[in-house]
Amino acid sequence: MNKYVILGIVLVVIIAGGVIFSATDDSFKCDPSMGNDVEMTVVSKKLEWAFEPEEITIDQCDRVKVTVINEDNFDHGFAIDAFGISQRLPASESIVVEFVATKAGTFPFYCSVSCSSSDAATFGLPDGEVQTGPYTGTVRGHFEHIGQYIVNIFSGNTDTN
Amino acid sequence: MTKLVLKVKGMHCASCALLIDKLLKKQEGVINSQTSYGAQKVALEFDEAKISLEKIDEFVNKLGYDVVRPDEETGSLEEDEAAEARELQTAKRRMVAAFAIASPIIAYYMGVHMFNLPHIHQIWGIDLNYFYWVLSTPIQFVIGWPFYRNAWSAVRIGSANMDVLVVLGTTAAYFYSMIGFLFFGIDHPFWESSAALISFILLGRYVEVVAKGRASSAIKELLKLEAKEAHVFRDGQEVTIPMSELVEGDVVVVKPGEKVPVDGVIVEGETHIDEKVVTGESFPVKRIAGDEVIGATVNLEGRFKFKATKVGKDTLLNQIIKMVEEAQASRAPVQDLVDKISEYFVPTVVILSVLTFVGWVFIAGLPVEAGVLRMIAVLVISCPCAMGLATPTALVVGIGQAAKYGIILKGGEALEKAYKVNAICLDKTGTLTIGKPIVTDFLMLDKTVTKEEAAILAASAEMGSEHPLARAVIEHGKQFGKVIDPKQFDAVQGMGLTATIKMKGKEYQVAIGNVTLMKKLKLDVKKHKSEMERLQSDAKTSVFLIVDGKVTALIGMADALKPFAREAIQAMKEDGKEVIMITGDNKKTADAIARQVGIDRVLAEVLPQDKAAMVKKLQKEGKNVAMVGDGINDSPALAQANLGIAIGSGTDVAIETGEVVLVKDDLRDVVTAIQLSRKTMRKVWQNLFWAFFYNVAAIPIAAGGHLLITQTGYGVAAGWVLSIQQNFGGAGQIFFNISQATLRPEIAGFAMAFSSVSVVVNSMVLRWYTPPMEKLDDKELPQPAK
Repeated sequence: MNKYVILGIVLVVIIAGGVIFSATDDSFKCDPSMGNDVEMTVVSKKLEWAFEPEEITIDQCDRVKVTVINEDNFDHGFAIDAFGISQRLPASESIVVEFVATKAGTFPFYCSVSCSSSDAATFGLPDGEVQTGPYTGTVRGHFEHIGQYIVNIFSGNTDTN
Repeated sequence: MTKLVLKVKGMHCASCALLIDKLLKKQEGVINSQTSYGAQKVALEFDEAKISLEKIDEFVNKLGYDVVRPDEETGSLEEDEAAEARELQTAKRRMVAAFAIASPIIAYYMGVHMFNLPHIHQIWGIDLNYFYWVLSTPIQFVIGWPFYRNAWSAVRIGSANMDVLVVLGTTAAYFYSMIGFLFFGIDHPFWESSAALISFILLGRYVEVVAKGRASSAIKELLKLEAKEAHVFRDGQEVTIPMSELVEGDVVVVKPGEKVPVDGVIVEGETHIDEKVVTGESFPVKRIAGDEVIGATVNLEGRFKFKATKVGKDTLLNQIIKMVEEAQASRAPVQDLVDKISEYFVPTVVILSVLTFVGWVFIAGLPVEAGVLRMIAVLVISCPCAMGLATPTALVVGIGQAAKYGIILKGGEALEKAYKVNAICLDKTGTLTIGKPIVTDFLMLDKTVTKEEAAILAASAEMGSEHPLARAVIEHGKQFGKVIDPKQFDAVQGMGLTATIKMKGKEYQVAIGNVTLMKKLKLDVKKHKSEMERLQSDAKTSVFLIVDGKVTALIGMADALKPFAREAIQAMKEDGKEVIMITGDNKKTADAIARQVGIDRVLAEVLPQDKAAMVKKLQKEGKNVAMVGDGINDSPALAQANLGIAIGSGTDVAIETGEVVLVKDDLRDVVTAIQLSRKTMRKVWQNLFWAFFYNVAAIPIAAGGHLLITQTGYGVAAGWVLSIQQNFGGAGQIFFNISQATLRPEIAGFAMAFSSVSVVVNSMVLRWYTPPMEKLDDKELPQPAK
């Protein structure tokens, strides 16, 4: 038999297996009747390599709509690995990210785009600007540009709608 | 049934060779097809009654390659070189164009990812992604077009080669970037993986073409040796004609400094010829009327005429070239293994990539994009090109290198067998020894005449003799002056001879013979008994020289050892091989020779037809036997042995039967052949390791599998990673960054290109190999007695 026919069959089986697995997985799953619609704004502060707020508490199954604002005149990103979010945050713009908090626990959200650091004036930060805000005097950069979501475990249908 | 070795054009990857074989073997009438990517040749075996060569050519054309049929063959070296230069030029142009277009993308992403520069998002108010889109498109679809073409031919016959992988990986990356950027605002478009990956693969291909050119330069060097034209006698006139018009039987004139155009026999004149190019012999040899001359050797001094006996493709040089070509086109069994792996590798990788996708999306519950990212990384990194390159490059370089030392390895199989050899059988006469007696001792017993005079007198006396030993005495005498025809000569059957020689106006009564002759002449030789016995114990034949009734000298003759025989045997033993001598000669002579060269095990008095049986017996002892021989009588043993080594001065039959042919008459080459084979095989395994290492190690990383160790939750670094980050300063931070990121496709591409390059470079290192045996100074050559 043609190799590609066999290969096709195997791939279909694998994908079907994946679909069946997720369908028959009887661990807890959110459905649209659970959780609340939550809206929030996260700001990537200008030349601070920091999000504000850095800690956000939500409930499992909440349908979250985050508006992320980039105050810098260079790109950042906004990513939450736990919910598969990975978005570009273009310079001086804002984006809207939506996700369902399917898992409970503490998950980092972070800047997913290389964005230099505050000791990088030599690399040509715009107009020789230096770090401002509460972190003035410390060196911050891409890897400090991080915050966390605390997702409380689902405790019942709190949907008020 | 027809057997042909033909050039194939258009192969660009090891998988191509596989593809051609696969297709051809399916055709009715094709018995065997072995294509070598390294040599760009196919060794075909087919039944002409069932399939024509044109038909085969047509099939191969359909795949996108071209077989050069003999009727299409131009044969000229210049055209071959021009074609190769064109191929090199095309590969270079593609590579340069790809890099020129891709360099802004590569530079930007390198700056951002390696030097931590901030993302700038636009120039002149236009988002950079538009630029990348514009730049990537021609690379992906114009410069990268051959990948699509070849992938399609592979898919059509149900085969999967590396082009399929490249097309899968880069196309996925391209469309992911385009659609993701235009519609989904993804943070990591893969423009650079489409552009940079194709550029890196093209770089790899370019290096391959360069390497291939280098590797086949051995053959080209051989071809360059040929003379371009010849002076022949036609209708009594000396005319200069091109080589192609030269026919067998032509009488060719060779002037000093010219190359001998073809093989033949001298009919007039004498000269010294430098035969190094063909036999590797570093000293010029004297050639007189009746001697054979070899094409492509250089006439050093005299003007001579010779009759062409072999022209065109039949000359020794062309035979050697053909053998090297066939060897390079044939495949080592180990290659089949690699090819099989490659064939299964592609589908396995596709399955793994889909498993990666399913794992992240359906089991870890991530969105589709996250799954696609890792899936693409898996597709891109697993390209098996280096795997396909591992064996051919090493073999091509190894075989080419051997040819440089006058060792013809008939194919990868010979290489593979040679390195396994643990016992070496040597034929005595013609292999260990020169095969004709020489004077080894000339002991003066009386001072009436000088040693020089005695030697000349002995030689002159032997001029009339037809005894085999006479030749040795004559050759010996020639070193001291002109040998004179005897005035009177008498052969005494079974005893010797008597002669009258007039030298320098004086007449001498000379007799040469054994003890029986001495008794007949009533001469007392008892006091020389100890010398005689010493010679006899060394298996030497001894005769007395009598001048004017006086016992003047004792002459010892023996079949002399070949130069370096002892050193070669020594090296074989040091190499851990058991060395065995097989001979039809009597035990005493055999033992004497064995003692001289240092062989411990002797199989004497073996009839020619029993030599093969002896080899078989050794094989039954569990030995991997190499048989070294030269004669027709050795051929069955050469065939029976695990590795047959024909030593160059031997017969055509032996050369035909042997898997290894030593062009030079030098036993050291046995050692070199085995050592070089071992080196080459080691390279093959090293190359395989590198190719597998990159692919196998990179796949789980590309799939994001390492995150299972470096993270305890989604995006949460593991404790041990954090402690490294905190305790190792800058290096810790770098480790942290790498450990937390999934392998980006452009890094995957780089790793892949690197694996190809390291494999090619590793093979090229073989070119610097100088056999230790070659380093022996020629001054150590044992000299015959004076």
